[in-house]
Amino acid sequence: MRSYIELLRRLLFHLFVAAYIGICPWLMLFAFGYIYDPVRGGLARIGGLSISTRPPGAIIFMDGKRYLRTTPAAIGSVIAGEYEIRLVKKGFLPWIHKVSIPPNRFVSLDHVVLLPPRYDRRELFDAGFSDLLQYSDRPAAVAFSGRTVGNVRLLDFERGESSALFPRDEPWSDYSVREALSVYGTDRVLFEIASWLSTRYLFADLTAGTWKDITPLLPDKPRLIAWNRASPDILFGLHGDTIVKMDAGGGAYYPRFFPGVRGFGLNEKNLYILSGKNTVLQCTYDAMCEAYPLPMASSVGTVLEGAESEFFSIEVPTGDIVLFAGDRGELILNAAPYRVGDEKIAGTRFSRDTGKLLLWTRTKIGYLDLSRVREGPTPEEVLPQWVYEGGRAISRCFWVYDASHVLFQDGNELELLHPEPGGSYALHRVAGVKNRSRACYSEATGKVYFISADTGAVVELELLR
Amino acid sequence: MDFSYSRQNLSGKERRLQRILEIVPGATSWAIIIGSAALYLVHPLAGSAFIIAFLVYWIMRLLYMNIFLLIAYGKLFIMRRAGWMERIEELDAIIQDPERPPAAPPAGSLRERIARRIIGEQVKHVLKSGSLPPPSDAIYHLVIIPVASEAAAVVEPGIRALRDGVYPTTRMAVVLAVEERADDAVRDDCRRLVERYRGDFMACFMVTHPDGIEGEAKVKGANVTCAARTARDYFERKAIPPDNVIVSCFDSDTVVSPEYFASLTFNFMVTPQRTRASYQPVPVYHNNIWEAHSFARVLDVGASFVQLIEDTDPEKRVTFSSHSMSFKALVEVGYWPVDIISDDSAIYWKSLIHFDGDYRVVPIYVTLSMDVNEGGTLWRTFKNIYRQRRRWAWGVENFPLVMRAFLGKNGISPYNRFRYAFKLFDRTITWSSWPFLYALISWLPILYAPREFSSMPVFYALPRIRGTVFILALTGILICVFLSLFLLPPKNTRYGWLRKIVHIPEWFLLPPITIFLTGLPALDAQTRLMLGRHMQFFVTPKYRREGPP
Repeated sequence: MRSYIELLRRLLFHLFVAAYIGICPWLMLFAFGYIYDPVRGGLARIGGLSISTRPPGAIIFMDGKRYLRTTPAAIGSVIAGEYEIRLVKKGFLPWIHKVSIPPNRFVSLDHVVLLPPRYDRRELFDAGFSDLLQYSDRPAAVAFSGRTVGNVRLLDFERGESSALFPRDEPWSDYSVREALSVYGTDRVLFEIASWLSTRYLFADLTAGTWKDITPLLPDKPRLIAWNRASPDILFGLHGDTIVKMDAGGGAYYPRFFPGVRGFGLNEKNLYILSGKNTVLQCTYDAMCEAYPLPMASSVGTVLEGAESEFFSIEVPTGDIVLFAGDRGELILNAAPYRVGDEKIAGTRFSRDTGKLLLWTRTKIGYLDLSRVREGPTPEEVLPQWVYEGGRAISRCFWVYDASHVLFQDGNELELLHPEPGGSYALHRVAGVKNRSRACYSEATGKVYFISADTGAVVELELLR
Repeated sequence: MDFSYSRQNLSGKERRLQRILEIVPGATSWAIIIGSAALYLVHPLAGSAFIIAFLVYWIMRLLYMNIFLLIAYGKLFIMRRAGWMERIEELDAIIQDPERPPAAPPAGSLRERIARRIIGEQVKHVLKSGSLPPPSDAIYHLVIIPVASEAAAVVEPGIRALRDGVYPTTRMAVVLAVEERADDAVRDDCRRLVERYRGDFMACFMVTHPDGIEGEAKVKGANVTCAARTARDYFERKAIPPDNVIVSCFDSDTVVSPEYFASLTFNFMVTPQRTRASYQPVPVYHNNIWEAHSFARVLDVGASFVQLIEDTDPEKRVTFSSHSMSFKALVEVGYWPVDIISDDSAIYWKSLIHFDGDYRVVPIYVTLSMDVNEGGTLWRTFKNIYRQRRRWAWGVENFPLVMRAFLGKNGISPYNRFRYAFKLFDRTITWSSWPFLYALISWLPILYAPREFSSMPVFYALPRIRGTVFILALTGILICVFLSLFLLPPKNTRYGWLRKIVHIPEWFLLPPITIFLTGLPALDAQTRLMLGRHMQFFVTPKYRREGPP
């Protein structure tokens, strides 16, 4: 005798098997990009779209139809094709673009910055400053309100505080500041100050608010000087073809630390030296050196030998990628085709999170995806992707929003390059900057600090909300 | 079928076959776990397809099982109102006078009426089968309680429950099967218990199982076999045929519910070919449930649920833990295997093979309670449970033996052999590989997607599918939570409903428990068998914490 439970079990078993046979292939098709299209009456290929915006919460319209959720959102099961995507948020310009969703692909619009019709500004400090020098990602800067040392101030943008960096009663307080040099992230700034009689070098620790006169360590002005975050009081300079080492803390000076070089660079642990024979050495701070096996490089030495530059600043953004920035604007990489473009590179900025190297000339802005170089590049991939070529006097660039946007200063204009679907970049004016002054940007706060061209005040502008 | 249910004394060819079959479950489990991970890493799309197919299969099977858990629980709930002794008396009356008019329609509550209806169907079925049951006063019970190291405090509540049940103890013989290697204190305790309860039963005696008998391993099966042989002599002396004796082999901490033997007797009577069956109650772990650690409690309530679900599936029923069977069948099959750790399931397979497939497990909807595994401290409890679960999973040792029997000459049809083998294999592999597939492998697409794969819809669809599966699985957990609350011992002065409700969140420990105390011990046991590293019997220490006064 079969009990009712046994009969029910058999019935349910067959029902579940049938359901599995029905559901599983359907789900599989859906996951692999197919859906039933009731309009066409057959299977249609689907793709997807993910959108995130700064600020979040934008309403999404696809071909005029409102999507239920606001950004950030992942919209799956979209029948492949071209759609007009419109992102709308009160207080911002609508973001409208045609986006092509190919079958079986998820299109990612993950770094959309909604632009305001006009940026809100906040005046932090009154007029009177002539220039700003950024020394870290913190919302702070060194500000110059005149040419003399006594007028150099430290600005804390967050607290709105301003303090004199040097005392006014020093004999050199009325010297003029000839040059100020910072190494980003070290909180140290080297000031070259001069009167008509003499030149002095002041090395300031901006965290502690202290400074040292290191003039005895610098009998001549080096053509390259560097220090790093790990040992910020140890400085290396290049005099002629010799590296000198200066201990700003202990006052020691090593005039022939390493002779016969064409360049050097520092990272957190090591000193990298390009020898006169165009080989790279990896050294400790005690000059214990060994040959640095350049990954991926076979003939970078030949390229360096043929380079116009007399000396190179070396940067090792990752363990296997080495960049040689020449004094004549050449940028050479340790991977084929070695020379990065034919342009005179004015500056570079590396994004550790994305592996993208931002580079610029006076008129162009581009980037190199170093993570792809590491994977085994083709020559085309090492060529910079120029995203803007209409500059006049580009002086500095910043990666914005996880290296998706570029903020740059072109003469006295601050502009934002924002990516558009399809790979192109559009230009958006941010603000006017006082003539000959430098703007600062903090990715941590998403804010820009600059001296306004209109009022001369130090202004804070929220680029990312 | 004449088959030696042992891995000892095999011929060269049989030994090789046994060894190959020992490798199969472990190798299959490892192949599934490593293979699915490797498939995803080597070919993400194929791996994703596999994961989707698995997730859908897993959730559907979980929901399917939940339906039967509810049905089985419902039946257990209803059958609590069966009034087994009255039903036995009614059946006795029918046996004496089959021509008597049918009983009046059942009265009472809905539960009672449904219970009576189910029972009425069973009676009709047995009468129709022509296999007229013996009268209840001709049925005797043999209860074997194996003791290895357990104290009197663990064993005595079980004996007391036998005495205090509704079934007359004058037809019940209780045997304490004590290991010779047990401490003197343990043996003395058992002697004292026998003295104390001798007058309460038809017989109550102690049998000491000698240590080191050739061909025997240090396993429970050897101990209870020795006791059963002695009991057989006892029944022969009393001229009681084994046909009318039901043997119940309990763990030392087993405490039967008062209706247990009445229900067992009734079910024995209404089962056609009653001597070709084992009788499986619903094990619950209530003896120390309020003192046990939460994860131990969840695991053991889970084990009760698994048994309840399997009770509804005649094709999957295998004896588990404390259960009962016909003494005649036990004698005919040659008692329990004496060299196998998992004696509870082994006796089922041994009987099935011996009777050429004419053997089954009959569920009886009555509970018996045992101890939740408890070691005093959290870590010791965890270790004890792990070792206990590994011992349970060591039931995989039956696989090569059963398969060897199925591959040889026997009277079971090829279809049924395939069915049994497949179910045994499926249960074994599911136990060891599913927790890893669900808890680890199915996360792979969320944790890692190669660049060329990351922009495909499947990469976005999989987390959604997994999320839906998780929500559905949560429904299953909620069903378990509510049933566990109803299955708990009745409210008493020490622990009220508030205390019960506090235990609801502990069910959310299920995911780690499933990995570490279900999948891992099973994989461990299968790997040991695969590598030929045979296990020793681990006597789960019985420990009870003192509850609050």
